Amino acid sequence: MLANVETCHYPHSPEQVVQLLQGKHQRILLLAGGTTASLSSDEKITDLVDLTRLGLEGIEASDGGWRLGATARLQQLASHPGLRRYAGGLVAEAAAAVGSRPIRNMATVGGNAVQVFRWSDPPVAYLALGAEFELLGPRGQRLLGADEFYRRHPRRQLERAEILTAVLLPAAGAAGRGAFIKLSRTSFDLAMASAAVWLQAGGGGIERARLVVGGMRTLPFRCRDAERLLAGKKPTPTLLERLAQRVAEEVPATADVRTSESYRRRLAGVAARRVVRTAWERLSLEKQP
Amino acid sequence: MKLSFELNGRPVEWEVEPAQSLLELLRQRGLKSVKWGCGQGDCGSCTVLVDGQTMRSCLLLAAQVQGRSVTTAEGLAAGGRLHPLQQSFLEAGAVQCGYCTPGMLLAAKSLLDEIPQPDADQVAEALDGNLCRCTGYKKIIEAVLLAAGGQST
Amino acid sequence: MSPRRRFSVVGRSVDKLDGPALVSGAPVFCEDNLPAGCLWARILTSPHAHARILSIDSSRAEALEGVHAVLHHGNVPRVMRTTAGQGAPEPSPYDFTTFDDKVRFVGDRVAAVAAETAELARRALELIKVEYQVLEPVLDPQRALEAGAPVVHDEPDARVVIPVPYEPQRNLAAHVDMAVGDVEAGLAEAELVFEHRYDCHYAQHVPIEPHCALAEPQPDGRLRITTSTQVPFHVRRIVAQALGEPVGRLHVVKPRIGGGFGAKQEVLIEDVVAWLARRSGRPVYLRLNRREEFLSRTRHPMTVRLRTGVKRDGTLTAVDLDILSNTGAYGSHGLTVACNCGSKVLPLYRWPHIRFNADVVYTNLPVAGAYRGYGATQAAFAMEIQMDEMARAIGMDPVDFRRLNHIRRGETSPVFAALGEGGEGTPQSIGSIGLDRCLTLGARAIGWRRRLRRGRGYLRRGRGMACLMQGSSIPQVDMGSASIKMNDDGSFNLLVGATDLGTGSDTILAQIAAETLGVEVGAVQVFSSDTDLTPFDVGAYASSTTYLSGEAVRRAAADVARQIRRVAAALLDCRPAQVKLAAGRAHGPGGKSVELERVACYSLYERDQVQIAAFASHTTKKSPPPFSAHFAEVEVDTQTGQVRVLRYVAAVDCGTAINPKQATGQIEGAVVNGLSYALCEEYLFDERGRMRNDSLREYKIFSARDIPEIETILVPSYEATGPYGAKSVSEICINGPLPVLSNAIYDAVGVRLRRAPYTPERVLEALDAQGAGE
Repeated sequence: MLANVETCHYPHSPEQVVQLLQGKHQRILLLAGGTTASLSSDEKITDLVDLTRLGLEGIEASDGGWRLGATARLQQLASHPGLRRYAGGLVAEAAAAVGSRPIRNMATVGGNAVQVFRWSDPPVAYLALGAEFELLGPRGQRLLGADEFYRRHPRRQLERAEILTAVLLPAAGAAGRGAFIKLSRTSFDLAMASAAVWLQAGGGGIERARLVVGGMRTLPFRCRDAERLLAGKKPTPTLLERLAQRVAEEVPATADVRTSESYRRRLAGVAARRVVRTAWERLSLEKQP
Repeated sequence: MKLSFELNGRPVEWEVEPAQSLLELLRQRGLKSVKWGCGQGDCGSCTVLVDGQTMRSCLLLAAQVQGRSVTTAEGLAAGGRLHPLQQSFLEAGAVQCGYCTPGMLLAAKSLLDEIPQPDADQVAEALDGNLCRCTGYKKIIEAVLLAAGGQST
Repeated sequence: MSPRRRFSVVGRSVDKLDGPALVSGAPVFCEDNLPAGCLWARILTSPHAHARILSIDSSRAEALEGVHAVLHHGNVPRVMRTTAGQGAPEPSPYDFTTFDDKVRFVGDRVAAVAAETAELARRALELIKVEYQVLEPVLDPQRALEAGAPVVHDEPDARVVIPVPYEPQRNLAAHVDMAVGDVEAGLAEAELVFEHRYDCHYAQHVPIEPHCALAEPQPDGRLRITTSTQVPFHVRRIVAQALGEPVGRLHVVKPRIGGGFGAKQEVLIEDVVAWLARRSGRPVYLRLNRREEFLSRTRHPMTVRLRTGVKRDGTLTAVDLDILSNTGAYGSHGLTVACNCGSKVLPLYRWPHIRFNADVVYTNLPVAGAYRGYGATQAAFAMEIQMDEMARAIGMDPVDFRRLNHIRRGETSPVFAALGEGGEGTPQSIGSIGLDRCLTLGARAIGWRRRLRRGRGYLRRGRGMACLMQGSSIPQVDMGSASIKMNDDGSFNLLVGATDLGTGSDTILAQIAAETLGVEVGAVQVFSSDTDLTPFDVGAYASSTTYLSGEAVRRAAADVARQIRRVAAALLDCRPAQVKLAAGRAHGPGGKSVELERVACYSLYERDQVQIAAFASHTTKKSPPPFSAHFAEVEVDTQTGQVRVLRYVAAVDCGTAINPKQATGQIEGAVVNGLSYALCEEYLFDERGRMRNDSLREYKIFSARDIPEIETILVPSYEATGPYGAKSVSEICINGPLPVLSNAIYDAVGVRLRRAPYTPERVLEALDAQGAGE
């Protein structure tokens, strides 16, 4: 419970937010969806800034890819017809896997991408696609690629008074197909393990693969070892079996109340194998005349 | 701060603490249908509609509904007549203790406003975030299908 | 063969009486009507699993502006009692006082405050300084019985108030045993003997409304307590005991409550708000937060050791059922739950030789109490898995094996007489049983005889089944009563102590009254669960409301009907015996009739004026079991261990279903709760006894997308001793999923799970061990 809040600002442009943050960074709580903010009891916070009226709620086709506004809600992503087709639909799948409907109605692209937790689903898909993160700060606008954005916690990647304004899904993504899977105990539980893959076909097999596993630790994990296994090959059952094992070895799994470390590791392998197979099927299906 | 928003179809203007939980605020102002079940966004008994979409009022801060429309179960009946969903919940036996019922009704209303003829899976998905321990959900799903005029399973 | 009866109101799925208020979101729950000036209470809980409180300094908390009372063992009298909501003298140990100088589990009560706001109360808790002497905890029930284990209840004044075994110095909270015949001889006679250990786990009821209570000092010096409870009369008595006040000074009221399932068959927080209200002179409200709710009451985790003997022709020869039950830090319900392990499971089959033994043990873990199923859940888990195993071992269909061995109408079991609720039981023979038909219809619905498509690849399907029984009320112990009076317009006010927890019992009781009086249910206004205004009832537990309280209602209504007939006879100029009540009228010979309104006004205003009214109390002579057969089809993911339940069928004999829609609602709710318990609910503790997953985010229960296709089949029988042939239905079905799913998983992948819950990790581990995993 935030005991010392006196005001709430409703800025109408991202630039206004940056200005506010430059003024009183320490005392501001940014409110996007608000799924985590309200559980804070930080006594230093005196000002709320509502981010949902900046004009960033849209999902727009952009140069062959997609521009996801930072305050678009995850439910919009999950149900968006264009996103359900883009690259096999893995971003829509990842958004649909989040929580339950009310949480998806509240949670925003930006909040979800920046306040990443071990169980966050869409970041896994963003990393698999090599999405770009559009930031706005006192020094202007810049783009960070997903590998860089998730190299460490995004909160540390943002500079002072900098905010995320959009997630950009690359046009190149449409040339491949991806898939997302979440393995959880019940339907709206946090992931035990999740995986996303984006595959590009070439030469009769997989030309390029980006394979990411979530649920292992705070940041989504790119399985580069496993990606190397796939390059240039067709995903036969034997290869998929080896893939599962390689992923299980590679991921930085830790235990929690949901699973032990070894079981989680194993699930990571299963999740990876299943998304690769699904993404490959999507690739193959599309190639039929 | 002054909070101006639409509550159950009527414009209201309240003097509020910006960071007060919307759940607490609504209950203080007499809207007792919005329930406290966990205070952490996990059970759904605090569900309200904001601009027609289900949200967790225990997680929302008062300031977040500035200029928006908020609906609670008190806003379902019109002119002294029960909403079709309220009718169908009664008819289908979907109400036992009733504690989850307001949240379920709002989730169902939001669904039917978007998809007037859902199938059972779509209903289950829309209600996924509302926990119930009494009914086992079956009659609740049937009630929503009944209100939609579809076949109950 | 059950006689076909036709009733006018009984047997109809009338809408719930409180339904319109509930769908409108009307303010009918405890927290919805807090009075002006109400203080907010919070409880300070122990961070240690086992510790003595050396000192408590609450001075800074008391000095905080807006704090009106701070209570702890230093300023509240020590009154040893139980928290269990049971009839007096209670069969549970007196091992608890409102504030003690020792804490016995992480979450145990240390102190309480009442303050102007929730935030102030929270801050006040932080200002209370407690000095603990941390003691070694005992976290394993096996270890608790060993010599040298830490003693949870070493206080000299812990005691039992009925003559039952109680040895707190060795952590034995309760013990019960019985034997019939010679079990060893019986096992020797068998051609196959099975011996297995089964482990089932902690779980919480998760009522969506947590425990909450309001205490208000009244102008006349009495205290009014509004509480979310299943047992208002026990609350009154036990709070009076705790406060040292006469029972008559307390007034307890139950509003609408948001679920109980046994968690609220406990006098858990009413003593706290009562004391705070007395000390502060102000109304005080307490609501447990979700973490505190998880640490309020739970199901008893148990280790069950089951030995059974069978012949190749399917005859059962002997059963040895041994229970080790973990009651946690206090002994509430420990004995009676253990008794029910035997009494609600063993009579189902014909066992010539029986041995039953149960030890209930203290540990420094959360406190177990009443939870729907109440011991039958844990014992049926073991029994029905082993029955499945025995059937397969002798090459008999599990359904046929049950048919061959289950008790029949007119038969009895020695277990009924031997096992009561902490004492002797009540002999009874079975007056109604539709189990065969449940088996037939249930098997047909799931397609039991049809070949099952097992599945390809890593997904495997299987089917399983189980048979169940429960009881209806506690005979000769529990009492319910009702009073009915007639109003000017021919309507009736029905006053019952019985407690509707959302189960719809108000509606059921109104239907029973309406049937007896020949009126529509709308003519009966129900007022329930007010200790000043309604007559006594033990409350909602032991599946007793329909069978026990319902019969009290029927008798009161029958008495009122007699009075009506006498007055009507005067109006119709005939004899009372010639008058029949139907459709809201009194009918005499020759087609003459008069409406009940006329009868009422005549009796109230015109001549020989009298208030037509009656009162009846009832105790039951037996506890006729409902019976049920459950079937399920599951799909096991052999790569992840995830189990998906595809279809579930519950065929239930509850005698006459007074309200079929409500009955099936009870069945569906119980089944889903059982499925959730079997697959994903569990308590995880760290090495110091702290619950790690004490939130709804970490402790998962089924949501709408998790449920399978559920089919419920009501199989009517007619229990002559119950109102209009009724038995009970509220508990029995929660006991099905645990064994049914284990049996279905076995059918799917060939591994027998005897440790619950069947989490994906546990299933995969079992598959690995078997070598069948991928």
